[in-house]
Amino acid sequence: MLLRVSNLHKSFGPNEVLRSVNLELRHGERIALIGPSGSGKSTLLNCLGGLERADAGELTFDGTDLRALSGEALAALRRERLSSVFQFFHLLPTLTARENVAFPLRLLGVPPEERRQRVSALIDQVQLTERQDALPEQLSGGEQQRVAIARALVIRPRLILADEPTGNLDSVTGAAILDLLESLTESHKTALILVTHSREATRICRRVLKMRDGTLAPADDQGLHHIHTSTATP
Amino acid sequence: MLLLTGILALGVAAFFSIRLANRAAVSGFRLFSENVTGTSDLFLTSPSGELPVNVLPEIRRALDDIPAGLFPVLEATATEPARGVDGFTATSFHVIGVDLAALSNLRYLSSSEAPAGATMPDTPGRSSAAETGGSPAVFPSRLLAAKHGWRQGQEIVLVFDDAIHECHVAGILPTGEFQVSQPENLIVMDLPELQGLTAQLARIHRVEIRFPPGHWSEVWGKEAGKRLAEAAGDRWQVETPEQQKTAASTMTRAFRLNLSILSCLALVVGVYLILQALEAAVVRRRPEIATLRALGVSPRAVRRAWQFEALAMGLAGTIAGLLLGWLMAQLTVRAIAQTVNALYFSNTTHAAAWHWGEAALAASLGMLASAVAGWLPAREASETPPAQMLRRGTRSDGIRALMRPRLGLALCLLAAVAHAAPPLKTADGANLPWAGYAAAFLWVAGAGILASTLFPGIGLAGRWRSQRDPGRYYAASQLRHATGRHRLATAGLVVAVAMFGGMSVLIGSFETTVTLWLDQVMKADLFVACQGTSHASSRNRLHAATWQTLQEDPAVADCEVSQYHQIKLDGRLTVLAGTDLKSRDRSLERIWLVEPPDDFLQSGGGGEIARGIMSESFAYRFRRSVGDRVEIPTPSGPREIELVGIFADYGNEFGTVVVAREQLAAWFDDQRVARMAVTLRNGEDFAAVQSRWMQAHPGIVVTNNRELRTEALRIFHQTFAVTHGLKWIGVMVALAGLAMALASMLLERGSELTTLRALGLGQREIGRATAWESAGIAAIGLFAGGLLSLVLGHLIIYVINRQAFGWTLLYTVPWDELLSLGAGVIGIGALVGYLTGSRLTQRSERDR
Repeated sequence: MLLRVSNLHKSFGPNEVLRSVNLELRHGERIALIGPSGSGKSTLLNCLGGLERADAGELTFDGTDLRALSGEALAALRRERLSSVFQFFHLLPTLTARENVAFPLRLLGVPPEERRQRVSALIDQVQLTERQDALPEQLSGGEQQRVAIARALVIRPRLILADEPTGNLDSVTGAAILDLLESLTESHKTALILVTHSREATRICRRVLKMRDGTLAPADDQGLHHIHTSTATP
Repeated sequence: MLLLTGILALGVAAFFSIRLANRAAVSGFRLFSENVTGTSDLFLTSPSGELPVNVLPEIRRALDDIPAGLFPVLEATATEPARGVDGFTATSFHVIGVDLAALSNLRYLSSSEAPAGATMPDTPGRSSAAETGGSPAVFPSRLLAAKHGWRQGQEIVLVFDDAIHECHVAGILPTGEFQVSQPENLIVMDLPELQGLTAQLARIHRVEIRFPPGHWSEVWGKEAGKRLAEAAGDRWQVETPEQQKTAASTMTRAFRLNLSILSCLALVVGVYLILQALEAAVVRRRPEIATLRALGVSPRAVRRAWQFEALAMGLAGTIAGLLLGWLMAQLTVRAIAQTVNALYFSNTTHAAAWHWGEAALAASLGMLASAVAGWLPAREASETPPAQMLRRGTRSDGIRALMRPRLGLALCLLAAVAHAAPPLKTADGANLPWAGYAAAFLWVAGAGILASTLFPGIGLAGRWRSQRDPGRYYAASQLRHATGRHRLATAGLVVAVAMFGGMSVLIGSFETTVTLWLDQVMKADLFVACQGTSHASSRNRLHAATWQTLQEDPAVADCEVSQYHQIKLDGRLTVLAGTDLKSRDRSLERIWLVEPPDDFLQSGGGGEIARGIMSESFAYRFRRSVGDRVEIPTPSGPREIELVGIFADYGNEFGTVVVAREQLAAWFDDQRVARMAVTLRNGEDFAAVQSRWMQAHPGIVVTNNRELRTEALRIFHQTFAVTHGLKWIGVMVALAGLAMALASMLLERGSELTTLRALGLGQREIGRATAWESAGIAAIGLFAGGLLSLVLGHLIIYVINRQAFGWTLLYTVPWDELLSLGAGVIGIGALVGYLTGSRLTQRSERDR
């Protein structure tokens, strides 16, 4: 099991955002979290990524108890095994597309030659070879998100946390990005938790979990709410 | 905001305090010049500084039927006896010798009664020690008597010239209508008595003229001025009280201007900080501004709101600054008064009074500064499209002028032109280096903009070997794509570092030059002078009997005596000195800029026509060259001197002409001298001779070479004390500005910090990255500011200083001080960056 979440609680002041959340995720599995605004999807994602500390419950990732880790150790975990993709791309604006993709490898201290090879391969895979020297402000939204996906995959993470990755894109570009996410996570054997408002986005996931008022809806025998989804038309 | 208001207050306070302290130091002179009759209508002085007593009947004849009281005045110095070399800086009193009988008649002339408590006798009469055989009678001012606890009838000991005298306090000066605002160092004596004590029997320094009060007074004043001017020839000049009052102001103008400009720079740094803080506020409140704009609030209304905020902050800072400035002035005034005392004239200022005119000027500058500082952020707030403001991660340009290197280049070219421009001549013939000051501001503005062109370079350099340091790699990418805020922070540092460096070059050059000069001119073993001689206005002199006795001491191998008189040439103050040009073993050397012919020293300056040498500042101020002749006023009539050499002299800024001492003594009928430089025979014990002479002549002070050099350097350091303080304030404020700039940049880049954290950078690593970024900004500021400081140093040394004072200084760069500054700025910059970055990351985590 890659991720195990049990009775997770998180409050902001009197507002209880997560109430006894339970979740399990296998290696290479892709799941979608859907739900209305304010239901706690992004907060759960932040807790999973160690960007937010849960108040109570258990949270184990790849055999490591995340709640027991210090801030620096959580940072190291994100550097090595966990990646994020955001709605607003969040590329570093002073680095080119290629440099943005290479940056996580710099954090890991990957030697230049290996770094070059891995970055080039990913740049090719996201089809940005011609645009690799452009700054983020010179790229379209779709191109920026492709850079963000390449950056997320370059460290070969166990899990990608994607928060509304198509939320800021038109439907055609959004669909292309989803295809890219699906194919790349498939080929890299990377697990994916996709937070989305869009049912269309759930098509790339095997399981869809619904969040409402800080809880995941009743689940199947594994404690998860399993919604069968067929491949929907865009 | 509170911090920012405080910083503006500091800028206003620096400017206001310096202005108040300057004014107080100069007004100290005014009070003293007004003191004898309080309200004299005319002053009659001689360009040679002295008048023979027999000029009085002539003045009376010239006035003819105009009713006027004539009050001859002799000025002298009395000193509190001190032990050993402390006598050099002994407390000195300004002594005014007046005809007390005539002065007491003033009371009837002005029809006013002396106030209760005045203990000055109604008719002091002639009670000189010579006539009565008693001790000399002195009348201290009320403040002086109170300070020393002197009472009427008390015996006190004072040093006049080189001798100690027992005096008795015959009365305390009344503080009535004609004795206004007496300074606390004033003693009045009867004229003949003072003449006798100081061996100036037939001499006076000025005549004050007063007309009976009433509406005729003005008419008589004009007519008397006309008649006296007609009768004067070259012997005297007539001045009104207003003209007298401007004397001190003119004398110290360059000194005061330098301090004012320096304090203005403190205000400029304050402007920069307000600008930084308002920019940061714009960044912080962008969503709010965008929302207002989206709701239909006009750009003009947004701009006005920001400008109003800037002005409100300016008002608060200005009010606080005025109060703080007044308090600071009370501390600064002593330093400035001591400098004025040592370099220009006597004053006893201890406190700086509030002055509404200066307050209005400082307040106007403070408000103007806040308006200027508020204008750019207000424009940014109002002109940036709401959509752009709402968009996350958008980096704004900030101040666009800083992104125009051509503008910087144009400003530097203008600065170079102003750098080479001549000084402005004032009505009284003095030089004011306005173009030099303009050049300083243009250099600073131009270099501040041009410094931005260094960002891509340092961005590339920062990437070098950053393989294992992703924080530095990220920081380098920020510097490579520097925003307006990076540029603004750098410009502020450039100003501060250049100001610091320029001042350091000035002080370093002065110190090197003065030290070399002292090495050259102070070669004697012992130096003899009267007590209290470190004050510029000291009139104490060694009497002939004293210096001749010392000269003939068997321990003396060689001796050079010198005397000087302050005179007026072309209406401007200068110094006429006399020294032993033929001295065998020259103990008093000079640094020659134009060496005189050999026969000049061999003949002792004699010949058919008197020959003399001039100081560099004299040559510059009066535009004289070697070979020129100059007509010098003396009490025995004008004397023509051929100028045959130029020497370096940093003793005064008024310029000096040196002739043979015997010649000077004959012209002024005065055998007294100001100081002696003595070379002892080999094997003589300096300390023993020093002690023996001071015991034999308790009114003199004998210093050895080391002691005198220490005293000279003490005065030097005291002169630059305020400058030192101001330059450190500038650097501290600029570092505070760097912290504000970083904070606003990181606030603007909040989403980037989130990304970095998501990518696996911890709080400390983000802190390290911002430390690199901050150090990079500091390095550019330091590099450009360092280069600029060398240019400013050149400007100050070779343009401003030369035009204002006529001195050539050896251009010296105090590398150790500049390197310490560099290490400090980069170190503190990196620390500020680390703390700002890690704190903001921590805060964003907490806020999440």
